[in-house]
Amino acid sequence: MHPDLNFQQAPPISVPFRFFLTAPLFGVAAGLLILYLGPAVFTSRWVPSTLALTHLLTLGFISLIMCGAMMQMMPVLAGAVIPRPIMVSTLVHLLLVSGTLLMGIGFFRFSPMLLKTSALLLVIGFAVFIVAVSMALVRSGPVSGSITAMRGSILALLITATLGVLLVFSLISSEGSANLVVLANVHLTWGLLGWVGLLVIGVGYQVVPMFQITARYPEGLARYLAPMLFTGLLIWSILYFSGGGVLFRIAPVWLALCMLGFVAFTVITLRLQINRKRRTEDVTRNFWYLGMASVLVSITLWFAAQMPELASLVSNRLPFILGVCLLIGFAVSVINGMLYKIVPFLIWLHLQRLNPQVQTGLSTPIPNVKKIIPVKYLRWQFYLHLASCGALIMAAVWPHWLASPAGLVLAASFALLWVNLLAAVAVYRRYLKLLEETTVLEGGVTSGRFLRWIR
Amino acid sequence: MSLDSGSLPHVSNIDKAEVYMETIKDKMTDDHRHCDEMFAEAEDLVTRDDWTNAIKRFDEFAKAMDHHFNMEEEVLFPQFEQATGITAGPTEVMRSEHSQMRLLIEAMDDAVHRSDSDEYLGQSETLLIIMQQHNTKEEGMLYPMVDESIGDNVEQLLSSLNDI
Repeated sequence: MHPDLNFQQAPPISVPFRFFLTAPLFGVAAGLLILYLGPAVFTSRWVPSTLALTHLLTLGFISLIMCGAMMQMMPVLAGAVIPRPIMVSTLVHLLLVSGTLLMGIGFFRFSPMLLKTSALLLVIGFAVFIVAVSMALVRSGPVSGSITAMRGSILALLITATLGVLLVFSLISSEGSANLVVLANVHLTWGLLGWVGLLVIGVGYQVVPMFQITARYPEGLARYLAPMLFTGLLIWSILYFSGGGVLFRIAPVWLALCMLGFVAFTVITLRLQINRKRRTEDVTRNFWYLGMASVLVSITLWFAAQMPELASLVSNRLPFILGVCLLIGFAVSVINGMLYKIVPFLIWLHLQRLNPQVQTGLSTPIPNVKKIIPVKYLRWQFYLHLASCGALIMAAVWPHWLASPAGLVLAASFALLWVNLLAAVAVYRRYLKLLEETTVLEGGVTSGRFLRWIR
Repeated sequence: MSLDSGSLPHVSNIDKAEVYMETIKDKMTDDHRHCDEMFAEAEDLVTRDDWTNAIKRFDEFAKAMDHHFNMEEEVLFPQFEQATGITAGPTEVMRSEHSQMRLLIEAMDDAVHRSDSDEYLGQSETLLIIMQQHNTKEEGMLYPMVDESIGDNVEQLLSSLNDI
């Protein structure tokens, strides 16, 4: 009945880690770009260098990590592995990294040639990823709310990437610019609310109850919210594309309804977390709180801007504040929290799996997850990240003095994340060496390949 | 299915609860939640340096986990293997995860008796992650498949589980 059901714990460690270890560097690059450009970043969201910045963050940091994490989580969530994991992850990683780099440079120097090349690399990279993950999702065991949300998220990625390619090509041929803005708004809505939003919902259904020991999400919410949001976004796109008349005027109202769906998820998540059973300190929970708070702030601001009396107050600063809240405050926070949970665990798991019997025979046993990334550094990175959110929001309002310092704080926060992840890998290497010295490692094939790659 | 902790069966009076249990998935999922709660309580006692109660709660937790593993290894996994014809693969992975968890519980046992909270909390964090991803696979895939495969024999299987 489920011939391909696979309960394996994890694909080879290099599959997710190649994504996790390169992504923070794009975040550092984004911070440095703000530092370099200063207030110019906050003049218009259509300025090419601002587009370079947003894509460094959305493709380089957010999407890279989400792709790596999804490949990692498939066996646990869907009972299915990604076929040929090493080949698929190598291909996806190379295409996305090179595509993002070229797109960053392409926007920065506004080079149509580079932009076209980058769009092609990215769309091929995402296509390989989508096909591979879909094969696992289709073959999954009984369908849970999580799986439904992930299927929606993958479809949203397909829509976002397709619209992205369309945008690059029409930007270069510079057809009617009004159309371009409509297309761009649909592209970013599918990217943020669809690809990122639905994936966070799908993963949240699993990890919030698991790691905080909370009650589960209400059955009805878990089953219907994601399909409703996906359909809602689809209908909104059609209304918004209608280009005028009654349908076009209904579009914002419709989008507001969709936003309420996200509010429901956020409020329920916070309520579950506040009533959790597990009371021990957990920095990753702070990242979740910050992420959820950012969603609520963004949606409140968005609603405020829909009212004419308030619109003038938030004026032209709103897109930047929303951008900071949703990208850094929401997406980056949740991703950081997730990384700090799974990276130490994966290192422990792979060390343990290399030779389970060794654990008792070793003079130094395999370190527990809290020794792999010390809580002290984790806490520091949280404060730095929190500071970068605050600084960037202030910079969005008063760019003149604050833009460059905010960029520096952002770069520092991503740099510390990178250092924390590298420190975790250093622990892995140290113990691997210890294992090799004290025993004859028969798992030489997997460990050897990872070592060659990491060294 | 009720998630209310008050209605969860305690290991020792599992017979009383049998009336309310409808499927293998319900029964085993409730047992997971029961173990989770004891886990959280023991951990909480450790952070508050209440070692006497922490040892007591931890021992109950360890015993409940052992009981749960035995129900699966002696009854459910063989049933799954027999029904699906798959002997390697899923159940093999689940068994190896059981032994990983047993090692971690041993390490926690050692730490709780030495009143070493750093060591205990590090091991318990590790255990929590492996335990939860293990439970996800069981609740999402293995139990439903066992339920599907046994048809009308639920009663019989439940009673052999209660004999463990």
